[in-house]
Amino acid sequence: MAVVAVVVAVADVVANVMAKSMTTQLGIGFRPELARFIEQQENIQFVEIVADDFKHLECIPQALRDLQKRGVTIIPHSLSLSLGGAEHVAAERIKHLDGLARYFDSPFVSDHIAFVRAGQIESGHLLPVRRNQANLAVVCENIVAVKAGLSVPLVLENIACTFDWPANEMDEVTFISAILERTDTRLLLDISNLFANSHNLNFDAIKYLESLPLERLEYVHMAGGVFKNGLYHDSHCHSLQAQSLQLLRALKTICPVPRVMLERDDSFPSSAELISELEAIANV
Amino acid sequence: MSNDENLKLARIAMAHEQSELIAALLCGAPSPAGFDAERVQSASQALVRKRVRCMQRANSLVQEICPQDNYSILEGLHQFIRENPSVHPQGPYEDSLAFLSYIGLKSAAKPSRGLTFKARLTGRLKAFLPNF
Repeated sequence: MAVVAVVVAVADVVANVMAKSMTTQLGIGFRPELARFIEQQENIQFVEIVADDFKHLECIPQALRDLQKRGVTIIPHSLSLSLGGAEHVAAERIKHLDGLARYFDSPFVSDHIAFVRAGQIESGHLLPVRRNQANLAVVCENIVAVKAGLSVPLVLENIACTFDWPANEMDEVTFISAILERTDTRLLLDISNLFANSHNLNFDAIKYLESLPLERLEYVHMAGGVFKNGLYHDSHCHSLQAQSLQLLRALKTICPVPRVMLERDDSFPSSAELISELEAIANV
Repeated sequence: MSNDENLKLARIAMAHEQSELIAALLCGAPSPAGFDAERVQSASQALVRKRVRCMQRANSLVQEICPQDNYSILEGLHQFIRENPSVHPQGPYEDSLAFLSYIGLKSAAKPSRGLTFKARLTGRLKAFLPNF
């Protein structure tokens, strides 16, 4: 009887662990303007920080340290590695990102499949890479080099665009999938970026989802945007659009989503509106 | 040709095409061949708006002296961006300091007193914009 009881108890523990692993953690992008709001939300399980905003560890605000003490996972998210750029990624950028990951004991860090600088000019924006075999090889070489300098896994995000390169050799989902597979890297899927591109560049977002290697999905971004002159701009300073929520729903019918988070960068709304958006993405 | 040589050549071609695109987006150069010029132009304008927002958010002084609804004042910021197409490599805060310096404020990084400083900044901006 004792053996049976132990087996049952172990089975319960395993079942609980499995059930927990299938639930989706809720997160939000940490911005100084949102620090007080985030502190008050007990259902926030992770926050993403913009790594470029914390040039030195001394700059880290107490609010973030408090969140860490509370058990909230902190994910450094970079905007500046320029993994899709022609230049090799500077060692100090990798070291800085890794330093943040070590400081916060983060499970991984993330950046984008994009370039942000060329010809000595910093664009301040994530720009798309022309999708051909030659560029694919360069992007993969950059990613492998960055991964070698990190003590935690690197996760890669798709970006939003309002224009595309001419003479691409492959579509976006093929390009991203090839990068993830060749470099054995996990995916940060920005659902709102996917919606933006499917609208602006006229492709089927569901087929895109079905073509991704979703077993590599690590977490999901959701953000608001705005339609202007027929184009969708992923502004991060407008309300979440219903189309993004529909795509998140579609994603969840295809695969488990380990983590999902809201991004809001400016024109911060009331707490009630933010809570409503968080609930909307949590309840999908 | 070895794989390393192929990668080197790919990086050279990539640098060239990406520089051309950035020049069109940020420096007023024509769209590279094959692009939808209207879309590139629209993206170019969006990047200026984004840069202004980033500077305003990073430095409240820029927000105060260049409020989003004051287009004659914002023109000074847009002129700075046209003449300095590269965002400051250190980020939006340093970009905002470069703007304050551009309009003639030498000690932009170390404001002395809030309102007085703001008044001084606004005065500098007005001097900088003769038609203000």
